Amino acid sequence: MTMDQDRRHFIRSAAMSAATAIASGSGPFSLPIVHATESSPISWKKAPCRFCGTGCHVQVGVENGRVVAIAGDQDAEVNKGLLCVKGYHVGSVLYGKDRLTRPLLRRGDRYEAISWDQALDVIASRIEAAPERFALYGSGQWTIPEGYAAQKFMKGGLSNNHIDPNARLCMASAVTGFLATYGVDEPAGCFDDLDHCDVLILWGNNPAEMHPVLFSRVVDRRSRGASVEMIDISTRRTRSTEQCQHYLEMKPNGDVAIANGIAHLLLKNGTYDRAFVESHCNFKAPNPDKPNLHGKSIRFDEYRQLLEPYTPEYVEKLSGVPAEQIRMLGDRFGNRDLKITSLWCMGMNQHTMGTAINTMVHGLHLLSGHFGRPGDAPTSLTGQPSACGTVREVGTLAHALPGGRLVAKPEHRQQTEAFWNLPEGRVNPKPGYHTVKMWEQFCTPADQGGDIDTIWVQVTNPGQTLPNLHKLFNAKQGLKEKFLIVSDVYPTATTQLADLILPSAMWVEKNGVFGNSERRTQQWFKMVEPPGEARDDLWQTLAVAHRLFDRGFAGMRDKEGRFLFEVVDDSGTPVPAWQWEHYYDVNVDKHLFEEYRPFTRLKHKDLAPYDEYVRTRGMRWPVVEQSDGTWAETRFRFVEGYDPYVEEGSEIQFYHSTTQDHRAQLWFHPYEPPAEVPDVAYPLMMTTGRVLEHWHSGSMTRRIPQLSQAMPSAYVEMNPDDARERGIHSGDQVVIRSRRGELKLVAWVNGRGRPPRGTVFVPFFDETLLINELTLDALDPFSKQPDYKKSAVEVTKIVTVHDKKE
Amino acid sequence: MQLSSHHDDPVQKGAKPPPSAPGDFTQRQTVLIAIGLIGVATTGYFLGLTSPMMAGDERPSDAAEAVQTEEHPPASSTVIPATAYAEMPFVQTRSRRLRATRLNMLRQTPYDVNVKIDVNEAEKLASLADRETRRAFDGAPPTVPHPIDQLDSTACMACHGEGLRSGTFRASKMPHPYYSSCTQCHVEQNAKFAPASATFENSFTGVAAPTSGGRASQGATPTLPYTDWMRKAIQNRDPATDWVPPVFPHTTWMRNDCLSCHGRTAAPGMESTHPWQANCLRCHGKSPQLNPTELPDVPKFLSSPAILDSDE
Repeated sequence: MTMDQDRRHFIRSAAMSAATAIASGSGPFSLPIVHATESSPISWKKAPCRFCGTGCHVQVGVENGRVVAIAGDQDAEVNKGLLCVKGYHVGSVLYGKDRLTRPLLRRGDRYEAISWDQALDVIASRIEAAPERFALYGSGQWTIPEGYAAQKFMKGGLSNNHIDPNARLCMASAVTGFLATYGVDEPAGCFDDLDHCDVLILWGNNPAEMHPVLFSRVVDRRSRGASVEMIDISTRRTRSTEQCQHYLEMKPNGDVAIANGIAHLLLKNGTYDRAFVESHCNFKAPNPDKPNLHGKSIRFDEYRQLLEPYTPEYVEKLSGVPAEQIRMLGDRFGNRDLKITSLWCMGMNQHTMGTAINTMVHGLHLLSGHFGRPGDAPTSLTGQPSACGTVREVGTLAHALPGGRLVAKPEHRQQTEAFWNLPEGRVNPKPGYHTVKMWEQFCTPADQGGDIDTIWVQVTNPGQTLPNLHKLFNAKQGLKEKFLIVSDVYPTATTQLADLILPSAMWVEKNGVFGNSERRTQQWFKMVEPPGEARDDLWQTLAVAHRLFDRGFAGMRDKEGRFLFEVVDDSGTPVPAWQWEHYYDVNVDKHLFEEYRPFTRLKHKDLAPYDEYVRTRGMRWPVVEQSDGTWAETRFRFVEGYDPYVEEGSEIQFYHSTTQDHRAQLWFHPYEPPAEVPDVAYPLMMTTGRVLEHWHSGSMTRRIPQLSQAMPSAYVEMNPDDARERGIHSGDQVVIRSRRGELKLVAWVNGRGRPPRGTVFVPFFDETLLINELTLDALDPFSKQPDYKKSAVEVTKIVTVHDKKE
Repeated sequence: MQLSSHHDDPVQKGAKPPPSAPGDFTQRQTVLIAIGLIGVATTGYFLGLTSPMMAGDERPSDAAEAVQTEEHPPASSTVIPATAYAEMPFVQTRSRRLRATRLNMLRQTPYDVNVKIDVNEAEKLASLADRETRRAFDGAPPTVPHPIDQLDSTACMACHGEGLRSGTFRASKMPHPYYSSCTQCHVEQNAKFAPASATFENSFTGVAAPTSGGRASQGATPTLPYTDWMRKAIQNRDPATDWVPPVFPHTTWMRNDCLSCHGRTAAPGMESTHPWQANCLRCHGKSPQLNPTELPDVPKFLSSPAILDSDE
């Protein structure tokens, strides 16, 4: 089949096939509607969706240089031809009227339109003045080549490790959970587990709204007659709850107690998988003297002893979930005949015990042996399209190097310097600032120790998504020595404080490669031109690097004095890709992807050549070349018969074990209460999150009319009893206050979600109603990920009738 | 508004100062007073509206809450406009069509496949235009023009499972297989739980729906009325009619059930003229263009017989 489904010729033939009145399914390869005219000019090409980490493939219909239609890609294994409402409308994301189209330099309260050339000079001068006080803040929306270039620019070019992504705010605890358990990041299973599981457990997760296509993969199985039991463990009722047979309403941090309760029951009832544990697991507990991801080794009987207090009744006290339901969970995990998949995302990651609860849910699957069969999987989901591919694999984190390497490890630095052909010692051994620290240093005056002066933000919106915004972002205002550079596609809460705004190309306006939540690497080609002077983020990085190179900045040269990002054409001649007019003379994405590929072998996350991804709708690593020259993906890692790196006869092999014995680590962590709990002054617990219609900070989806009209504004979702106590009704203007800020919102009682007594929910998508001015910036001690889900607040009705909104 | 009598509230009347100054001044003052009066009256109106209906801590029932949520909360006040009791049943389902519906029209008329249906091109185009208002592009999942149950799909299926038609009121039948999470793709428009906090313009222009399917040959234009002619053509297999049915102008992906749009609950002008013919695909081809398969675009044939050169 051809990727470029260019349908210019309408064949006027009528296949008189006999079938039923219901037109039978049109086979797996049909494409959508086009004009039924003689010469339809619409061409269809594949691309992964721009939004979440599910990684649905869409078919993009382009007519006269504009995207005019979107269809679910029936060739895509992830979504099988379906999309969610955001995906169906992703084409409109390019056409918001207020796209940024020119580089803008701040002059007081206003901006001056400048040329790209001037903009590059401004950035180069800021970096030259103090390279060690410069930081780069990116995201899980960077394409793999973009993230790789940023990584090489910072760590290879500037010897500066102050590069961190917004993914720190969304899945850092998932990473530390995987590392602490398996010694290597990312899920062992894949989305195929959803097609096989008998029991699906949602751990603080609302996939009906956040990962709708994956959720439907399960609930649609059920409507076709399969029996799937769904269990929702959550702090509020959601659309996902409505599809579940069991709803276990827990108190914040109750998940830790529940996981311990299940483990307790497995041991007490003798229903744990003894053979699995004996051959594949070690036991660990946190080491208070040396808190790290290795913890301290404990014996099985110590593990049992530590779990002793977590009886169902005690767990009920801690979590609020009835003991009977804890026993039900214990029975499910204790039944080896069932196939159990656990799903989680922000609920377990944005958690001061994020690393702990991640390891514990992995641990439950290991302890009960619900691991390694299709359908038996602990599956961590991601919220961004390339949080896995770019952040976790390319390693665009303050402590990491590409391919699972660490800046602190001498051999990893040497390997990286060798791949990049850099002189020894170029890569700085000291980890840079993680996200929260980076912004804290940026918002602290230089004379008070704030040693980050310039931050360049690419493809994300920290002015909206950082926690405790007044402290970590808004405080920048008025600090003369600080300079904020923002590459973006629309004006955002971040560009509000920017000193230099760079207009970026987005999605199908550029080439790209994403990596989704199931280890699937996906490629697409540029299809339309970006508006005005908007340009690729990757080009921006290259152009700044070359500007520094031109100015004689030593770091932008490799050992032989060549430019760090030299790109050659087929004949081996260097191409001046840093010049925009020559940028698309070659496929820079392909060049960087091929340069990056050798990095991926160390942790057995092998990627196939770029062209293989052009041909397919993505492949799940490790992708290993077969004897016949084809490339085969891996569905289930660590499992013999699926994973080519598992030795014959070992069935399950954790070949990156932190204890070097091919075993996974099974952790115990004691329950701890949340960092902030409601009290007299702030009696309600506020949780934040997304809604179906809006993605991330809403800067894209709010510009799509169909989505914006469905979800026009942020709101505070309240329990009817809490509302009644405060005299609040749906539609009332209320003010919500925490220790860090306050916000006026509209109350929604019995709305989309149903929080229990004492809980309120506010979505974070609305840039005019920034709930993160209220959220707590308490971190997980290992992952440094903030806990957005638990802030104590109070809600009061605004008495004034005519409340003018600003 | 039913509650406009608040404007005549004697307390507010008492607030009106007596006009005294002469000339232009009086005129300006009168305007000012009028503005002031309106202001006071409006405030009084809203306060009045809040107090008797909303005062006290008694929370209204869930049903009332839902009604209030979904019926026009004003942009910047705590006041929800009152709904007349008579209107209560319609608050959640009011739509343009329903407003134009009289109760006596809602009587179910038995569906008769033999009723003659005349194709009306103008009606069809109007229906297509109406259809476009609920889609970003042809192929986009239609948005929902009425309030929805936020949590549950059961309500969707009540009307759209089989589709219904009553008077001018019409709920289309789901054209694709059952998927249990309706709101995954179909979202409510003009959600009313909160006023929009910001609006952004967008210049996306979606591809329009096709207006008709292509035919391999037009042949003779039917002389009989359309329906009669169809019946004759199909029943008599009359080759003299020399007429070819149109192919599908759209994909059948997610539009597997032809009768959803062309059957009993079809929009005006979209109905099949021959609904008794249950086997659509017998005559109407699926366009290989719109439903491409992995099969090659150009059909392949066995090689032709090798013919010896006459010289040999």
